[in-house]
Amino acid sequence: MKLEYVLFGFGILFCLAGVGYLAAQYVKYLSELGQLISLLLTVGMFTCLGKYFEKVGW
Amino acid sequence: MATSKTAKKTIQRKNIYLSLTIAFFLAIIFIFVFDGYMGVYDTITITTQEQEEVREPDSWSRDEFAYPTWTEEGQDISFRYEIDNRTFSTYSADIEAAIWFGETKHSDLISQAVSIESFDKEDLSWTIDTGELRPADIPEIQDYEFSLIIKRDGVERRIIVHVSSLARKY
Repeated sequence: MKLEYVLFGFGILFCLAGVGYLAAQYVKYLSELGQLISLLLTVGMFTCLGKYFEKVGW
Repeated sequence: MATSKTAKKTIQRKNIYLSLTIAFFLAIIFIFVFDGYMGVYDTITITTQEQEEVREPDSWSRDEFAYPTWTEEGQDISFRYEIDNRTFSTYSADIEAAIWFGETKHSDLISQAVSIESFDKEDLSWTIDTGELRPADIPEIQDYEFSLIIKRDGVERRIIVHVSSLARKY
């Protein structure tokens, strides 16, 4: 049971790392304004995601 | 009754946060696509010996010093330089194209000012006869190279053309 959670953790970590890497590669080609807007949207997205999990009861 | 109302409100708020998360995520994807599309892009099409090579705008973004191509001596090599203005304003720039041998400029091919309307394109074309380019100090049996440098608004595109000697072949 615990091992499953560890594997889930690794899976999620690798997914996030992959998405992060791809985004970092793509961001290099964005304009400065695009980078700024993307950053603000990312902050907004994680804030809302955090609030959602808070409401769910995590 | 009051508890039911509060629970409904909590679920609604929860859904709002989830919707906002999805909306922000989609907005980021949209920014990536939109920002990637917008801008001023240039494409070079090289035609020689019945073959066409296209140098797409995204390939300039990679950190390459120059784009190599080749032809045989005596063949014409044609270049078509296309500037695509994907912005909301008119794009104006001076375009210069010249042939260089190392650090020495050989000749100017074009030097002209362009003004491209919003979401419009402009084509510039020129042809080089490689039969007339051989530098005097390079023997006919030897291949030679020259650079075509295109300058536009602080942007420099360099194409190195390798010209194969016919004397060595026949």
